[in-house]
Amino acid sequence: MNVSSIRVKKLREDVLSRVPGVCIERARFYTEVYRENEALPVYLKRAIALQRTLENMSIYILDGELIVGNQACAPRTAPVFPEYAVEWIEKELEEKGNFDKRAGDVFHLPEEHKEELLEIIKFWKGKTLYDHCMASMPEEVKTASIIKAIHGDGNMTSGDGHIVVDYEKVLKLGLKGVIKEAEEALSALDLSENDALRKKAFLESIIITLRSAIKFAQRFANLAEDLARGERNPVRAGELMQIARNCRRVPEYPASSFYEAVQSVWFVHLIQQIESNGHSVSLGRLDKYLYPYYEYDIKNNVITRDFAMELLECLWIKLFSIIKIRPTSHSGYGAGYPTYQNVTIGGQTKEGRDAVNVLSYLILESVAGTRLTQPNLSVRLHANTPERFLQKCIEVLKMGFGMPAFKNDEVIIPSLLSRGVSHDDAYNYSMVGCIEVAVPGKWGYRCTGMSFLNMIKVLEMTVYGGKDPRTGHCLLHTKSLTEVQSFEEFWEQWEKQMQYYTKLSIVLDHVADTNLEKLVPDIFTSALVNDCIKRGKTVKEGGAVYDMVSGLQVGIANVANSMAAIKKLVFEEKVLKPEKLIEAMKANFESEEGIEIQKKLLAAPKYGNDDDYVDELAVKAFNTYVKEIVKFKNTRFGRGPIGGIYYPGTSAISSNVPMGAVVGATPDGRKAWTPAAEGASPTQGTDKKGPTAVLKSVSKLPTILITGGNLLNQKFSPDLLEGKERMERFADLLRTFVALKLWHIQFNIVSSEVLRAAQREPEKYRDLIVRVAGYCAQFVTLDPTTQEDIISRTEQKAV
Amino acid sequence: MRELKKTSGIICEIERYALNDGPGIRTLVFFKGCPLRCKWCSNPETHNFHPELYYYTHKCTFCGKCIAVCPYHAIRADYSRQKVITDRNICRTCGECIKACPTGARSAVGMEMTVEQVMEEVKKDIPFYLRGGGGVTLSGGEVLSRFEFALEILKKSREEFIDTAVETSGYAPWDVVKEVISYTDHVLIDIKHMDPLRHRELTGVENKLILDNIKKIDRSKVHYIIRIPLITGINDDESNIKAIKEFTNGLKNLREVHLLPYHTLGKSKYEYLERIYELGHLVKPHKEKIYEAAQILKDSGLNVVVGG
Ligand code: SF4
Ligand code: SF4
Repeated sequence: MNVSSIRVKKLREDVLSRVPGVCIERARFYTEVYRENEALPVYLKRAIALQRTLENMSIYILDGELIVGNQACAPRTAPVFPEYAVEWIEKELEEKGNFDKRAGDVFHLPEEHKEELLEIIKFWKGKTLYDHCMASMPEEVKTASIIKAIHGDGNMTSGDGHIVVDYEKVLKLGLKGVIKEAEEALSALDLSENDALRKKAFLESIIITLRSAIKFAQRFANLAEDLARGERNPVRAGELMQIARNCRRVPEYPASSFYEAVQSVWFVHLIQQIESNGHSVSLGRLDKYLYPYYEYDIKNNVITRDFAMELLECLWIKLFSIIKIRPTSHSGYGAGYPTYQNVTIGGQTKEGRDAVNVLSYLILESVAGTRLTQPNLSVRLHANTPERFLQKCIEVLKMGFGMPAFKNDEVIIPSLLSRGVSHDDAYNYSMVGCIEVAVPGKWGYRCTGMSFLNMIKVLEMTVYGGKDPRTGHCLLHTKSLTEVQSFEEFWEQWEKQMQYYTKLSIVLDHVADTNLEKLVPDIFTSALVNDCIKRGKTVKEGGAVYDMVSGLQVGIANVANSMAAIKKLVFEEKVLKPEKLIEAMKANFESEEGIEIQKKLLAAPKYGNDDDYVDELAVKAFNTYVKEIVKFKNTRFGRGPIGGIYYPGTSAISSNVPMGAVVGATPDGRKAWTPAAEGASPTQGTDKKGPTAVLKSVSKLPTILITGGNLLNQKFSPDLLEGKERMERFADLLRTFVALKLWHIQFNIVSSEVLRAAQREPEKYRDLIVRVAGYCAQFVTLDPTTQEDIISRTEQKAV
Repeated sequence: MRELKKTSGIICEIERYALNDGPGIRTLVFFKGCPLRCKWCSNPETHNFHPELYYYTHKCTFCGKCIAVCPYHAIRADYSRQKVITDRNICRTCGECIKACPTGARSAVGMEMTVEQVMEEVKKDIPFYLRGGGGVTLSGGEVLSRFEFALEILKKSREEFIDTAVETSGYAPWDVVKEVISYTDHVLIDIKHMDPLRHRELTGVENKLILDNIKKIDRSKVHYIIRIPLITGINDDESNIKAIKEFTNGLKNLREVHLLPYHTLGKSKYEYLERIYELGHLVKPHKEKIYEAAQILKDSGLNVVVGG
């Protein structure tokens, strides 16, 4: 599958060749507005800041572009969001002079802007989200963060993201319609009522941002007209005039064609990206809500199928042009410039019928044609997914850039229903980011939390009686492995530690949430999430119809494997003395005795091989966590939304690498500082019985309760998909995945030889895309440890 | 060696998600032991009926621990290579050296399993068999050499509604074949060479029994597929393929033939077993040769699958 035209080919090459940059325009406008309007309510401050940015930032239309609108002064250039955090910017600039000397995820800041940026930082110091979080964070939580049993920096330096707004509404009503809603709500306010003044400010700020969004589009219309006038090529001039007409109409008015609809979706998506620093801002069920426009245009000969393809490809290139800069401390958690802009296709209608349509195929093909890391394409499978569509998905998968990822209606819908989501809404779910699910336009931020719980760290500390061997901290003392009498007693100690750290992870989440609500409300986004306008509340204040958040656990497989080894060797067979185990762990299995011990540990049962001995421990461990986390409420509980709770999730992006990097050798035979296992996937290289065994092992987990999503990564060498028969077998595998009620599965179809070659000659493999975990990245941009981790994942071989 | 009852046998390996040995997703059960010795065999670990030792030279650090522990003094040092050598005639596969080796350079291939143990593994992938008609495939080694054990597995699988397949050289008395195929949904049977003498030379046995069995299988109406290993310069000549064609022309119920081009994936296994691979130097058959052979067989209306 190739891109449909030379135009797209050129645009693609252009965007791929760009060295990621940093643009300070947004930071400049936001700082100005904050400086000038200290006394204004925060809503208005942020509305005006966004307005000033949209109305003054540099805009451009590249030659050949059909969809227009840019995030910063150039493609693949990250704006700066100083209101979230600045210390790390200052620190990296001081230490390294720029952002282009990092191990991975390199950015270049033009020298001439450095001084101004440092000036901007001065203003924000002590006022940022991060500063406020730090100031309100309990000491205990700080210590736990130093231990890295929990980690929440992502939230506190970048904001929420993780949302799908109501694109359908924008297409149907236009922003004009939404403004009208806000105006009506405003005029219905009785200002003498309690809280009415706050609501007034909020609604006014909505009107300001939506109007400025319309203005933003008008600026592109003007630019297109100017360019058209100077354009010698009449065909291009015609295109530019069409672009101008589109931008005059959308997003202000309802979309009247497929082309307008795509442009409108892009503007709405783009403005969210400029407003907030969060990632995983997603597009929802694109094939569903764009289809009526496509169908109408095709019937009436407004567009051809080829042109529709081209527009989609242009949209993907636009998505890829979006980029965000993160502190090095966090970029390890999501390596490879990920922005997790998810597009969901397939699935079912609310009547429970298959929802695949022509656009689903076109989206699949166009994503395959552009072969970029964005969008993060998800396919919703269900019991009646058409065979042809499934085969098409496999064909795309075979191309080896990690897409699409598969999600399973048969467990996700029941899981949502069990959490109180209405029938129609549950059937309409879409993916957000990588494996999290939400109801588009009705769900609050971060259906995945961003406070990580490092399960493998907790396990390590339990062995040492609660003390962290790396930092020496001991927050909760329990009996160490040498002090317990039985495996059950050891398990109890672990449970105590888990309860303790789970609670701290919630506190950490609350610290972030409380300050996000107070300091950086997203007005534009809130305007497009139901029922924020009606309630007069931002999403963060409880404006969304649903608001549930997942915790994030890392290392379930390591915990299960460690527990199995301890149970079997220390307590059942008694061939390993606890003291000896601890000694070996401390020596990182490097002494002669250590090598022997490691061998024994590695030979113990491992999760991922369909072996009940260890799988049951994984289930038990997970249940402990499930039981614990559902006890807690998020900061929106009781303030309007359905839910207001926490549930588990294993969408751990690539955090298994930095999380493992703070943990010494563990009883599963894992060496110190090496990566933990990903999501619910088996530990790298320990799944020896092939993909069916892995699927069976994972299927034993209480997936229906893991509403935050359960991540399973599999790497296949391409020969597993060679030939019609093998592809059919693969389809059988996927159908069984559906029947086993697994949440999500994704495949890296690439041989390790290829990956090694890419390490040696990165220039040649710029477009080698791999799935890191829940998202795709250019392999060559990943840091060496993540690269190694990807290579070491067991390559499943067919017999 | 202890007599094995029909309720247990020596299994080399049980592989799941096998894609080439019958319809759908299958679980492949490798029996250990075979009366044939095909020179190109890529599974030498299935030759002998008893468990054996694998020795991974590349992992061996020449520490000598295995030598010290072997109760039968089967291991000696090879100072020139800085490796050890195991006298396979003395070794009883007692496993002591495996336990002692610090680097995992030694492991056992083949272990006794009961029917129940095999079934437990086979049943694990039932959810996968249900789509695409997969099931269990008994392979080897020669399944028919341990037909009582095989029969038990096949019967138990039928009881569980699991699709059954058997891969065989066909070298067994007809009574045995007959009974086994009555519990088998798909028989995959080899033709290696049509010339009786050449067959003996290449495999150690003559082909008459095999060809007779194939004719009888054809009349029995069980679904079966003939598989032809294509070995470069050994049996891929036109005259042999034509002879096969002549033979298959006489078969009424044959629909499908698989050509299995020689590959070198078995090479390292010979090293692990410290044996010599007589045909290890062969190159893979040329694409054109495979195509020609396929063409010849296709001409008689057969469905020819390469790889299969
Ligand atoms: S398996 Fe036993 S007999 Fe054979 S070499 Fe090892 S220790 Fe000696
Ligand atoms: S014990 Fe293992 S590493 Fe040592 S000599 Fe024997 S085979 Fe080699």
